[in-house]
Amino acid sequence: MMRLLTAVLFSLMLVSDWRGSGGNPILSIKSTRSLPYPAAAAVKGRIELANSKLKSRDVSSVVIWLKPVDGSTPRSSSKQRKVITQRDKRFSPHVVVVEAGSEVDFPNDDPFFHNVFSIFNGRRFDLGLYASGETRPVNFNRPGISYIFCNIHPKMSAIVVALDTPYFAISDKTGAFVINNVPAGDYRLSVWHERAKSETLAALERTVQIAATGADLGAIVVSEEGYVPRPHPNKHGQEYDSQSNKPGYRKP
Amino acid sequence: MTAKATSRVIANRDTGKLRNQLFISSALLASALLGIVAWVINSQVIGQVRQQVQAEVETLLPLYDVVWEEHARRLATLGATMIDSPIVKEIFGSPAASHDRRTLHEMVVDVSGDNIKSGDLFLAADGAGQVFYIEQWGGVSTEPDQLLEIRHLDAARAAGESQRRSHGFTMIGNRLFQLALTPLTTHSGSAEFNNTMAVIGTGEEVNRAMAGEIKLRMHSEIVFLVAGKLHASSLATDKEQAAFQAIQAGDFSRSSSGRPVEVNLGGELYLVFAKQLTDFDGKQIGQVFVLRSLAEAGRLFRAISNRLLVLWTLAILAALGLSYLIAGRITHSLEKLVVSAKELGQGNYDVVVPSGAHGEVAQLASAFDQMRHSLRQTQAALLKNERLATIGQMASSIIHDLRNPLATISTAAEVMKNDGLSTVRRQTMIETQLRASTRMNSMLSELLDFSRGSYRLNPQRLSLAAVIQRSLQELGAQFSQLGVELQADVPEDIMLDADDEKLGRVLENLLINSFQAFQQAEQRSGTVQILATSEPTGVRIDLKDDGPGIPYSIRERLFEPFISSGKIGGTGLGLAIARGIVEAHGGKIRLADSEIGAHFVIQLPFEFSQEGVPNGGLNDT
Repeated sequence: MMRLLTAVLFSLMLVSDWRGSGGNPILSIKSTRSLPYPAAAAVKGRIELANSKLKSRDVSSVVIWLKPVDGSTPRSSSKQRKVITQRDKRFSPHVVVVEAGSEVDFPNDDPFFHNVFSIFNGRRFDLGLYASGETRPVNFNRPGISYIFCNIHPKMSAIVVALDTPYFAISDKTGAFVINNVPAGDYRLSVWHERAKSETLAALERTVQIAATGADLGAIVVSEEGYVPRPHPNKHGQEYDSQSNKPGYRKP
Repeated sequence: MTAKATSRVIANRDTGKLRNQLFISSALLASALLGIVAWVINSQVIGQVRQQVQAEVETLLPLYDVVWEEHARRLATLGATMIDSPIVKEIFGSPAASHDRRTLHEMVVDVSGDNIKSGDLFLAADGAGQVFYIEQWGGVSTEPDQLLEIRHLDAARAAGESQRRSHGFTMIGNRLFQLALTPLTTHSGSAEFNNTMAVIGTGEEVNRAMAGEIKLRMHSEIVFLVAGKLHASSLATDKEQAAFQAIQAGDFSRSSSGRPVEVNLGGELYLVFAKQLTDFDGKQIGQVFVLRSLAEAGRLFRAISNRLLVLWTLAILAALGLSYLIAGRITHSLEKLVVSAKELGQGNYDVVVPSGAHGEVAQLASAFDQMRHSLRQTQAALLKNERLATIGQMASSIIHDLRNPLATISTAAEVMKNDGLSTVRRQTMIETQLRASTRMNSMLSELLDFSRGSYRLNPQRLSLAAVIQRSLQELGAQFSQLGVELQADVPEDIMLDADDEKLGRVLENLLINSFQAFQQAEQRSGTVQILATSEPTGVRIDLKDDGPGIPYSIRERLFEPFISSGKIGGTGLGLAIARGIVEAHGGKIRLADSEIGAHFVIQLPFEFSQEGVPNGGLNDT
């Protein structure tokens, strides 16, 4: 029972592919002003979570990004290298956003072996078992959401969001976010949250006009309604824990 | 101490003995009976409880197997969980990761999780039995236990080669484990070509905690024995020490044959059942002893014993009381009988025989009373016969005594028939006849007095000296003929109330007695002294002679009638009459102790104040 519950808690919604287009805005942006285009400006905003079943008030790890509506795919001049550390049987940080084509390092800081893998959309990879102190890199060369697990520690999970835009941000614990260096223009605003259904996220998409002085997108309310945690299979597509359906044994 | 008191004491001692005997025998009987009862109860109770306990444990013994089966199943399930886990397969698929202790530790934690208990053992060996990972969970610590050092496990090799699970008890280091071995095989599509990747061992330590667990299930103490030594037990420390010693002494090994044995541990009795601990091949590596306490039986018996003790005390008290009562009843009557018998022995035929008792004692009392009656009758008959004989004797004596004066009178009368008698001679003859008739009269009146049993006195104030003087004159000629001197020392002034004639007869009788004694002993010289002294209440007259004295054989009965020392020519009543007269005067007469001769003492009051006193006369019965 516990086992099932923990598996469920650390699982993700994998029902449908995420798409960065389509749909109409449900939420109105509370303060929208037309300003002259500057060279680049900061876009601020705040994420609020609704209908959460968790007691935590942590609003971090919500990803917000802007894509020019003209369909161009801007590239940043220098690619960032991100790190997801494995320590105490946890991936840290839990959610990482990179521009597609960036590399992420997976150092093993635990005194035992880990096996980092991802079998879902985004980047499919399997780093195999590697010992304490070793580091293995992964190039997320395609945009998409990569769910990262350890094949021998089912409780571990991380998410790498690879985007084909450099204009993105991730919310802090209070939900606040800032996207820097956004040139003025019209953008498609997208939001991704681990515990929101894809329909909810699709509905949050909208077009925003960014002035040269930047913009304050105000509060973006993300509903967690309908979110059901599900267990994830291991890299072989099997359940991690085959004992829960073993007959003949009861916990003493 | 009087005879009566003595007899009472003797009776007491005897009855005490009887009482003691009664008490001791009844107390012994009660003790013996209660002892037998106690023994029977003890053997019954102990036997019953032992059987009960044995039956209980025998019904519990399958539970013991169930306990091990449960443990074995848990360990097998743990092993199965391990080998079925993709995580485990993933790790054991990597030579590097599978030999990393920390990785395996985390693997066990992740896969077995909450099912791990303190004391659980996990090990991993390759197909050749080389152990490359071993870890025992000890409470909160997940650090490896340094005591567990094992490089090779034959059973693991066997499990690896056969690719079958196995189960058994084994020693690892100095610890005993119940261990399940589960081979982890690669699936190659055909069972024949499966490779053994590893053998996973899941075990549980057999220790005090496990003994405690089994104890809780079976309500019995558990002792694990490995290599002939106590390995672990659920016993308290002191009992465990006793068990250790009992094992050393071989007390436990007797139970191996399947039958329970009794073992005493620190004063407590246990029924011990033995079970085996077997290794992977079914070989015995140790034993488990199930100890069921018989203390309950002991407690039960002690409770019964206490009650028996109370019962015993009560029985003893009852025996004491009963024997006291019975013996008291019997011996009290006997005691009274003894007293009565003593009285009877002393001549009291009128003694009252107690008849209050029942049963045999009453019969005895009644028989005793009958005996007393017949004794009294016999005595009366004897007395009568004796009296008749006495009367006969007396009659002849009287006839003989009367014949002399009669002869005198008759002779005098013959002489007086002759005419030629002078006047003086005739006168003499008449006087002789008168004296003889007076003497006869005196003799007859004496006889009459005695036969009446009372003396009619004619008391008057008289001078003792005159009475004595007359008696001396009367008898002085006879004494002087014999050569015996009569002396008298009597104060002239002693006056008393007495019958003159009778008092004179007392003195004369005594003097005649004395004279006859001299005469019979043919003693031709001697002295008879009469001394009179005045005492505060009366007169004392001592009459002493230096004659032959009175034989000892008749001294005691001297004053009874017809007692004499064989003298000739007397009624045999002299002293009896003397006593009768003295006592009629209210005085006393007795024979005083003397070395030579006889010494009579007469005591008379000055004043006569009594009626005639009856004494042992002929008509007093």
